[in-house]
Amino acid sequence: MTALSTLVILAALLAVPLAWLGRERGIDLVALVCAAVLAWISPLSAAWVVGLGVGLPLAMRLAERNGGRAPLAGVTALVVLGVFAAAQLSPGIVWIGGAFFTLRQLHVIAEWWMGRIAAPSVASHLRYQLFLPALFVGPVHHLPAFERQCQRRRWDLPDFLNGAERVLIGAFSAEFIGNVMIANLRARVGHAMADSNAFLRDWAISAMDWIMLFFNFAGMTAIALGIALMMGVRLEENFNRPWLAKDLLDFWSRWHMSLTNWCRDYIYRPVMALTRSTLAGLVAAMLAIGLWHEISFYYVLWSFWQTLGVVLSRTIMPNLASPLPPGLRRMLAPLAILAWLALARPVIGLLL
Amino acid sequence: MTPLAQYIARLVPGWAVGPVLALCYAVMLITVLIASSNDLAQIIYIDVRGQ
Repeated sequence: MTALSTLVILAALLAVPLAWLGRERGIDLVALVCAAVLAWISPLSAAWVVGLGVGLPLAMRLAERNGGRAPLAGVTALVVLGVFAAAQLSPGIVWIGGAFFTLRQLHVIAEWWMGRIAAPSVASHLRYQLFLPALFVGPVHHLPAFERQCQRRRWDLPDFLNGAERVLIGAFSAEFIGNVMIANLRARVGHAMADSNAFLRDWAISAMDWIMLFFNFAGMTAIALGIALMMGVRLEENFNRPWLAKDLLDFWSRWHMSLTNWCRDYIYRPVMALTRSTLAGLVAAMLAIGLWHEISFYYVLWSFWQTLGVVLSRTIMPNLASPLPPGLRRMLAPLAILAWLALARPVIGLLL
Repeated sequence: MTPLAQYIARLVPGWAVGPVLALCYAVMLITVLIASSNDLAQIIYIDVRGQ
């Protein structure tokens, strides 16, 4: 585990007792610890999250009284996106959790602009943006659900134990299964294929990377959700057995669900409504997911590759797979999905 | 009962659930402590950019 991840996880675990010093006050203390940790490891991130955490609700209240909801939403969304891009494109900047708090900031702005939520109070907004367990690994939880959880939470020993167990299983998954077992297997595959065709070797290693990524990311997410549950807060799930998906679209709706749902709500649906084209919505959503990972030409091509995969999996693949018995189709589907996902790297490598 | 305890309860007699659960926790904890000396692969989803 990186020293920083360990530090944030330990800080979140140490903050668990503080969370029980009051229903909302407890989560305020967790936010305070989060701000302190963030200020220590990345003062810039802390200044940005706290600054916007305070400024945004105040500006929203002002706009609610005096008008100007749309201009404020538009300008702040552009600024948030600009800061995200600037931080991504400046490798020297230590920017912790930006990929997640940017989406949370945009979620608040979009929901407020559409009139689905009123301007949150400064305290509520800071509690939401600075929820330590979800700081650097997500999920991208929703403000209204989080507020409800904070208001209704109460001490429950079974929940606490379930959370603690989830933390342990998550750490085991990320540290041992992902980082030791799969990493060793990956090294063996690389060694065994040392003399093979470079394209095939890259494809096989890329497949191993996807499996390792799953155990690492799902494990770290389990730690985040587990610590949150120990604090009495049930966050949105991020995975729903992605390797049981029946096709690529199904996979993306089961993998990193909070990101996919975010893109569905704020990219796919608006673009589809504007253009009346499912394909345009899909391309835009996949492009957002790709650029969220990294602003680079590689990820632009990666987005198109994923879009192509989704289109093929809903058009040509059902016809190709129809002669196979349903049971065999279900068994082969995860392999086909993994093969397609892993194929992105060697194919894009050829193009670049 | 936690999810792991429920799972173990399906496999072993009732009296053995506690000890087996404790053993599982101990093994996982020790494994995590030993394995955590390795650096976790730097993945995009663990957002500690610039580190």
